[in-house]
Amino acid sequence: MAALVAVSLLSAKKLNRRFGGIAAVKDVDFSLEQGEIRGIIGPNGAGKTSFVNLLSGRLAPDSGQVVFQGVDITRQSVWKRARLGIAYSFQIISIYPGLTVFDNVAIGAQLGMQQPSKSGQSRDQEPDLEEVVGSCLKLTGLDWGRTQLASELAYGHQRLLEITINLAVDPTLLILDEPTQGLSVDEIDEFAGLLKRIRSGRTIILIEHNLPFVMNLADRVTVMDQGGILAENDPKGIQMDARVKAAYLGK
Amino acid sequence: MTGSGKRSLTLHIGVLVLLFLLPFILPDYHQLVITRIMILAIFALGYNILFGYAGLLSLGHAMFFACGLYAAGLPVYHLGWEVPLAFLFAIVISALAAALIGAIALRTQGVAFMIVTLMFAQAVYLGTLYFSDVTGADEGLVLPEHARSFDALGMRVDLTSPEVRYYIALALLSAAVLMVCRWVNGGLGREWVAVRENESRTRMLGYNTFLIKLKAMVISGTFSGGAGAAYGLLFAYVGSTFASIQYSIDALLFTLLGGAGTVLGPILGSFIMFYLVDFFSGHTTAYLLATGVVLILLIMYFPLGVLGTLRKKWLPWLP
Repeated sequence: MAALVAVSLLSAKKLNRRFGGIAAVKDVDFSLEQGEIRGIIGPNGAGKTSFVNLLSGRLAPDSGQVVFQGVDITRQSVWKRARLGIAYSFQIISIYPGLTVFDNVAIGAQLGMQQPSKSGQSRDQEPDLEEVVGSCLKLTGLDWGRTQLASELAYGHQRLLEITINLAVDPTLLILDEPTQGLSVDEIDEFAGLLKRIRSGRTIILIEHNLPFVMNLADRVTVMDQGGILAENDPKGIQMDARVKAAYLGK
Repeated sequence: MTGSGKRSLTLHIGVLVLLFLLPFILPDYHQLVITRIMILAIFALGYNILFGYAGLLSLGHAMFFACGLYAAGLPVYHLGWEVPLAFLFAIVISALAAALIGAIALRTQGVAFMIVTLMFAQAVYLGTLYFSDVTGADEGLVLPEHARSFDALGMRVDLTSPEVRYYIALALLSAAVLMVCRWVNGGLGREWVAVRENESRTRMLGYNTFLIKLKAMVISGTFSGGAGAAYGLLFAYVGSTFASIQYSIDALLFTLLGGAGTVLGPILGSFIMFYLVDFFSGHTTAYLLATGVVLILLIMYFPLGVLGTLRKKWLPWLP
């Protein structure tokens, strides 16, 4: 490990967040390496979504610190964090139902295109935008429906659209909150394939209830229970961990 | 995409050309009416940016109209400014006022935003009544003789001529339409629509939605103020009526009627409203009643406004 120091993309120290009398997230220390897929599992109410909300900025912590690429982002607003490269894909699908699939993705792509090359980029964005949107739609396999209204898509396709919008911004860290929820078995397989295709150059946090899915994809798995981190290991180690079994799998 | 872009460009230019040709065939009376409509249509265009595109319902846009009206009229009346200077001054003041009020009002959402804008507008209205020494209040001020003409590009522009007023109004409207077209078909328009359709999602994606809404507010307020300034200067009159809530509602009504979120909708809405009132008031004293009935019928059959409904059903390329 001496020469190859793992690059920590994001780290959290002593994160706390209470809702009334309940400690949703307590004293969580967390570190994420560049390029990994990290599964976060745990029983309902374990604090998984609250925890990633603290990372994405949808919630403010009561105490603790979040550092992303060396920058303390604890007090930064949601949109500033997103500009730094943290994308959050909603558990409950949140798209632009009144707009076409193309326009949905274009909203993300437009932002993504503003980011890296602020100089040197020519002003005529429109043809470029079409290309970017087209390639994102091809990647997630929604190319056929670009002129359809988002509200008219089937549920599984809306899920895909949700993620396509995020991909169009070209984030560094993609947080997926229960992406397979409500998908059919075939769709879940396709989705696993998609994650494998998009993972290069990205870091992904995967909150999941579907254990075979997360064990198959994740490099490491973090188990949460009652607001804290119960265990963290590679998928094999987690499956054999007696504490995890007791708290979660064994139930 | 490019094909529909060409079609919509043709349509917009066509409408403007039609307006250009109208005075040659229309009697003087209609020339005057259409001049007024075109100015109010600029007001509605500005309103539509905020309401139709960014999805923010303001009930106080008369304050921006009045802001432009007074910012142009008062220096002309009290300080003897020239017309073009007063017009530019009014534009700047309107933009500043919109930025200031936007920065405060945009902290609220939905119904609260409607109430806050309404309150600000009432404050402006009552202000114009209270400072009657300066503003002339209800009676208003008639702008002096020197403001009835100005020199531009070596020509004497005579504002008492109906044709001159008509073509100035048309020039301003054309500029406004082209600007709106450019914005709503570009990145800014996409950001406005994104905020309208799903603001929290847009913020999560990394957009500063407050700034996006503030831009809409400033552009909208500036258009409204510009329309107010043009109205005051062309017709040589400023008065408190223009700050009253009726004008805020008019802007909303024109926009809803023609089709919120369509470029030409507010213009069409202004025309329909004006001529409805005009037509019925020639036949009955209960003209508002008759106008109301027609409006109800229109909303029943064109729930998205005339152009909004046409776009949904038959003309998806309409911007």
